[in-house]
Amino acid sequence: MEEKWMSEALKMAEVAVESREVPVGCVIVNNQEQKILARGCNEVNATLNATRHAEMIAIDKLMELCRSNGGTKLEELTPKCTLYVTVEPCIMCTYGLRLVKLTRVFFGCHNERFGGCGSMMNAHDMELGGPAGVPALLPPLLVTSGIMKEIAIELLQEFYKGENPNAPEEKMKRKRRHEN
Amino acid sequence: MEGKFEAVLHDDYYKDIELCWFSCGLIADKKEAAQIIKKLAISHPMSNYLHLKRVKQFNDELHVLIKRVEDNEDSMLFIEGITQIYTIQVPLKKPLTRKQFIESQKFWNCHFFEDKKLEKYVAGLMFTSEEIERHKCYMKLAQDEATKIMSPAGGLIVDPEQDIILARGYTNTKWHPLQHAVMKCIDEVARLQGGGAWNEPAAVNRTSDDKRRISVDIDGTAVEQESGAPVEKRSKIESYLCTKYDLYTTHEPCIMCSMALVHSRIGRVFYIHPDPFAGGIGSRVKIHCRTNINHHFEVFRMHDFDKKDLYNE
Repeated sequence: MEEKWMSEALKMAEVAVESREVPVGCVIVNNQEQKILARGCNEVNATLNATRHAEMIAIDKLMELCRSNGGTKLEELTPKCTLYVTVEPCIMCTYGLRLVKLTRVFFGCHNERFGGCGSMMNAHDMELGGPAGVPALLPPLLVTSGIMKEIAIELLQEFYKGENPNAPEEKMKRKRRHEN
Repeated sequence: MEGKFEAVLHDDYYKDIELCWFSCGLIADKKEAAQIIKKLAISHPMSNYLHLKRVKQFNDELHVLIKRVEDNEDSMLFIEGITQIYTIQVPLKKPLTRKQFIESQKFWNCHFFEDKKLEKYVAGLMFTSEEIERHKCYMKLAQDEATKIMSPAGGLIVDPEQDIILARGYTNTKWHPLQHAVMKCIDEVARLQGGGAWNEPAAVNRTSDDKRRISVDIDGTAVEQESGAPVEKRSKIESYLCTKYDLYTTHEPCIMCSMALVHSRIGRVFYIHPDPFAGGIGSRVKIHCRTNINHHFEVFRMHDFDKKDLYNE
C-alpha cells in the first residue's frame, strides 16, 4: 500500500522536473477513505520563494480544501492523514508538519543536507512546543524511511546534472569548479 | 535608554574551558633543551594539541609536556634527559576568545590568535550608536506590525544597504497555522522579485512600490517616508532570495522559520523575545551556527527593548 501512494508522490516529483524544480513530490492521504486529499511538488523557482517545498504546498492545498468544505479544521483532519514524500522532509517542513498536527510520514530517500527526520536534526520527535504563546507540546512524527528510495535518488541525481537557473552566477561558477 | 545587543553565537564561544591530563617533566640540563624537544616532537607529536606550547618556564626550570594521559593509563614514562615526571591538567581545546585564553593560561601556556571582530561580538559591542538607533527604529516598526492587528508577532525585512523596508508581516495562525510573521515576510520579498505564493487579503493591496525609506530624526524618533522613486526591480542575480537582507522580528523564529531563513539566505536576524519552546536560533537549537548547514547568518537578540522602552524615550 505504501508503494501505491509513494508512486503518486513520485509522479508529483516528475511534475517538478518538468518545470525545472528540484524533483521532490508528495501526497497527503486520508487514512480511512484511502484517498488523496492534497498533492504537492517543489515550487521554489516558480515562486522565487525558497520555502515553497512540496510539503508546504500540500499543506496549503489541504488548508484550501478545509476552507472550501466550510469550517473543517485543519488540525482535526491532519491526524487522520498520512504524508508520502519522495525525500526526507527538511527541518523547516518537519516542524511545519508537526505544527499542523500531522503525525504519520513515509519518505523515500534521506536528505543529508537539510533532513529534519534524523539526518541533520531529530526535529520529528524532539520535545517541542508550539511557537511563542502556544506552549502546548506538539505531537511527534512517526516516520518510516526508504520507500522506493532508489527512484527518488535517481530523479535527484538526474536533476543535479543540470544547474539551478536562479542561483547567482558566482555560486554556479564555484559549484562548477568544485565538481571538476 | 537601557537596552543592549547580544550576538547569538555558537555555544563553544561561551563554554568554560575543558581540561585533560598530560604527563610533564623537567629538563635536567637546559643546554640540551633544544635537542630533547626535537626528539620529543618525533617520538611524542602533539598534533592534536597544537594550541599547547610544549615548554613552560617556571621558577627558572623548564617544564616540558610529554603526552596526554588517558584516564586509566599507568603513566610510567622514561625519557632521556627528562626528570621528575608528573601529571598536570592542561586545556583540552584551543581558546577561542580572550576570556577562554586568560582562563587557559592559568593552567598552561597556550597559543592564541585574537579575533578582533569576534571579541566585539562576544562583548556585545558590534554596533555603532548610529547603527543601534537604526536597529531600534526598525524593531519598533516590527512591533507596530504585530500590534496593529493584535497579532502575537511581527516582522520586517530590510535591505540595510539601501535602508529600505522590503517586507512586513505578522503572525496570522488563525487564518493558516503556518503563516508566521517570518514566513510571510519571506513570501513578500519573493513577491517583490516577481514571485510569491500567498495572496491573503491583507497583503493584496501591497504593490511592489510600497517600499518605505526610514530615517532617524534628530531626537531619535523613526520617520517613515515614501521612497522617492520606486526601487527598480533588480536583476535576479543582484537580489537572490533574501541574500544580504536583515530581518527584524519581535519573537525568536521557531524551528520552521529558522530553517526557512537558511533556505532564503538571510543576512542578519534581530529579535527581542526568545522562544523557549521552539526557538530555532538560540533557545532550543542554534540552526544558524551548525557547521554542516550550507548557509550561515548572524543573529542578535535585543535585550530590554520592550515596547514601553521604545516609545517612552
